Amino acid sequence: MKTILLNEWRIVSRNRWFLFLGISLAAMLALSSYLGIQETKSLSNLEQEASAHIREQWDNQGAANPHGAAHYGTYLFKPTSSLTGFDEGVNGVVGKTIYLEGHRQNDTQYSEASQSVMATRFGKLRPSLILQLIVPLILIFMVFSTVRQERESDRIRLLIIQGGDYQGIISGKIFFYWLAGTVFLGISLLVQILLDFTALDNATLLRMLLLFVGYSAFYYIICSLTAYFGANLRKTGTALSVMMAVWIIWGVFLPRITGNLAEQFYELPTRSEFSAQMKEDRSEGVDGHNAEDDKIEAIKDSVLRQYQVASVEELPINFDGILMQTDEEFGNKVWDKHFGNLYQVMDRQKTFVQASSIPNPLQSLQSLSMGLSGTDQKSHTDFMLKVEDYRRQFIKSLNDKHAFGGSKTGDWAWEADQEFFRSMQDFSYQNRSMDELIGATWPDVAILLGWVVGCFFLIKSIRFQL
Amino acid sequence: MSFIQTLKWEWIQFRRTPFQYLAVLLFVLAAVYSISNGISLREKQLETLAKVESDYLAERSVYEKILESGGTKVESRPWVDLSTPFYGMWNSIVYKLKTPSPMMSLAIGQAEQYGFYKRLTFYTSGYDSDLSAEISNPERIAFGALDLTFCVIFLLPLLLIVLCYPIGGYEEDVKMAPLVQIQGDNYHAWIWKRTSAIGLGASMIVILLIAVPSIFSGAFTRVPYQLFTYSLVIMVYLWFWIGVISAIISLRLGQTSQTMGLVLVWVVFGMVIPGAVQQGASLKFPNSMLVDYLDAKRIDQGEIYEADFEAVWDSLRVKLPEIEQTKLATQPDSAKIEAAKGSVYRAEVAFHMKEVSEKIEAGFQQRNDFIESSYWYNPLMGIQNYLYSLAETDFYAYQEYRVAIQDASLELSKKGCVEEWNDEKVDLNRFRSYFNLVSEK
Repeated sequence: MKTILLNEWRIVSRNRWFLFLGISLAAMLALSSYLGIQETKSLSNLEQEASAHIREQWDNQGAANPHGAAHYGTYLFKPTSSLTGFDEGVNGVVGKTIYLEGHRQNDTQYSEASQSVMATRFGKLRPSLILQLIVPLILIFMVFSTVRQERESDRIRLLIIQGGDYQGIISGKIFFYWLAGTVFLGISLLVQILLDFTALDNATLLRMLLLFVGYSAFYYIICSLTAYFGANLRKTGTALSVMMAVWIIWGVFLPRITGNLAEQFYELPTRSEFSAQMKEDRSEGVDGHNAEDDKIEAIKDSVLRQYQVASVEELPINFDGILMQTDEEFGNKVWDKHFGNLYQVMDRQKTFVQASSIPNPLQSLQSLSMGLSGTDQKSHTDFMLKVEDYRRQFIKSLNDKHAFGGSKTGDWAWEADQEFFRSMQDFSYQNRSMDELIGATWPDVAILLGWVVGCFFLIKSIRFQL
Repeated sequence: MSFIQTLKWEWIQFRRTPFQYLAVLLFVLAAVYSISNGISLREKQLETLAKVESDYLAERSVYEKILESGGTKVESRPWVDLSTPFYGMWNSIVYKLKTPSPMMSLAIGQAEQYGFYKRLTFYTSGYDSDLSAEISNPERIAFGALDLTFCVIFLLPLLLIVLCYPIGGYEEDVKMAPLVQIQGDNYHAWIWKRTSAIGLGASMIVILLIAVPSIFSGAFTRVPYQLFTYSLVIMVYLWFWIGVISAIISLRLGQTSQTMGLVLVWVVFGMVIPGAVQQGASLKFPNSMLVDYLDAKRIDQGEIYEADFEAVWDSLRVKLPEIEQTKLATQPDSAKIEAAKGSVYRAEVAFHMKEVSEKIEAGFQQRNDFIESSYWYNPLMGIQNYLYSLAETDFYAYQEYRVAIQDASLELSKKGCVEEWNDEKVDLNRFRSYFNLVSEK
């Protein structure tokens, strides 16, 4: 094995074309990692500034009616995970700004992609793009070249006559180029560690380790397949065409087609249908702003009984606040139902895409890479759900203040002091735990491992035909 | 060898090479699938617009009937008085719609990133949450829409590479290239003839792929100029690639190196340069999160509403001189003026929001300028964005739509203000005149 590795190194280092490619690739990876980290840091700073700015507006709104404040609402900005610089995933196409207000669950707005003309179709020049599409292409060229050279120069016959083991030679070559692929991967992750040292914690390191494992597995697959076709197919052109076709189908065709098919099989509602359905369900509940609503009577009776008084005017609390919270809780059930359905459909789409990755391990790698970087659709949904939990707490605090803060029913002019608004907690987002992440990405890992095992046996099956 | 003979031999070679056959089949399948994506997106948008239109026409007719019967009150909302310009205009339910071009079947572009219908009120803006894009899976959007334009710009060069890689390279590998010259053909001309034969075949496939869906979508009759330009640009693009491929083949590198060279050219122009430009644009002009707009909505509007009426009036009469000629301005009636003050504040806010939107769009334009200045070395994206502009599915088409929404909202506020200050009463005719106040489509 050592001899094969040394020999391959000699071949590569003597080929100026490969050297140029290797050095260019390493430089591109280091630069893209650096730029990705810079952008992530700059975005984080902007988010922090924007959050502080909005919080300042909230804190300095002065004394105000709590329900008025619920309508004034606040904005949150989706935080950028530290590995966004490695793989941007969906972050460029989903909005970063979300409005939190009473009576309504909103979606994120103002995505980066909607703020300019298109500049790329394969994503930003991030390490993930280079490592998923360009490094495998270079590996295909290199492995193909070395395997074909042995075959076409007939050196392989000489080696076998001298006692060489054909499978061992091919495996050695695969190992060498797999190692080269992991060196490229290592460069990118090393730059990430060195330049973003402060953002490193155990969870991030673990994610990076898993990224390393996932990408390494894919490089083994691509090297093995190229070696197999290079060694087994008689015509050079055919052998190279097969691997080029594999690269095009895996990297360009299938990811787009499966995403579209998933949306056709598991259809999402249009925004107008979605809003209309929610509006209809919402109309079944109490209208907190309408004291004449018939559905209010039962709630009123129960509150009057609890406080043992005959009318809402006699209540020591503000019944309007209770109504608002009842309205909110009914609304929450409606949002849970409809947004829950929406997320369920998206989960089914994701499962479909994961399952359709069985013939395309690159798609599994893409899914795993986004998941581990915290930039996949499930991470976005997780953010949305946590924001919604916060919104509910936030609005409940305001409604409780309105109900039990010292005002009486009908007193809409009553105002809570500024200190109350300042005392409200900020939103803080924690990424999904490793357990959740593993639960979401295991199909991708399983498919990659399945391919690794399959490729291992494929290489074992290679026989040299004299 | 004549060109006709070359065509014949290339056809025979193609038929005997299953991989080339398969490559063409895959390309055609991908193209047909992407056209069906375009058609279904357009149909879905048209269906949604028809539904929105029928809903608002039904809602509007409720108020028309009230006015027709001589009433002005809405039972479910006792505070509403349709005879006032404010409630009359509010309940005229005017929408601004962006009808998809028939060319959308060929070029989806950025259409999935924006909303395409919007109700107009005095408070409407082009950045409101109800103007968000349709609900879709973000992972699919991140991978990008699969449309015919994508197939042509990115997959067609790959197809041409697959079809052309044996040309010259095979002859070099088996040392037969000198034979070509001995037979009297100029080597470069021979290469050019063979690649042209493939170019011709590819052109015919692409023209068919453009023509068939265009007949069904109505693009032929409704947007013939755009369709012709789209087809022309694609033909020029295809033959540009034939030129590049012929040039690389002429370097006589042999089959393997030739294929690697061709694919690397595609990777550099299709992935590396566009990715680098996008990365540069994001670093130089990061997502603003539209904090300026949020401030305008929360802070600036609050300040305008809290300002002294006199100051707001002075500011508005410069922008809306007609207000000084209105009935209440010339024959003051303090009770009516008190009631009409709100319209002055609303109009002032609408003017301010228009200014803010201009600033926001100017910010976007800086980012666009950066990207567009890269087109000379990022030609694939330049060509692609031009094709999307023909289909009205690029950023600018939706920017125009946003600006039209902002203008329409301002128009409503101005009209509402002038009518309130003229102490107008809304009857059925006036109510109906509001429908055409701004162009819906």
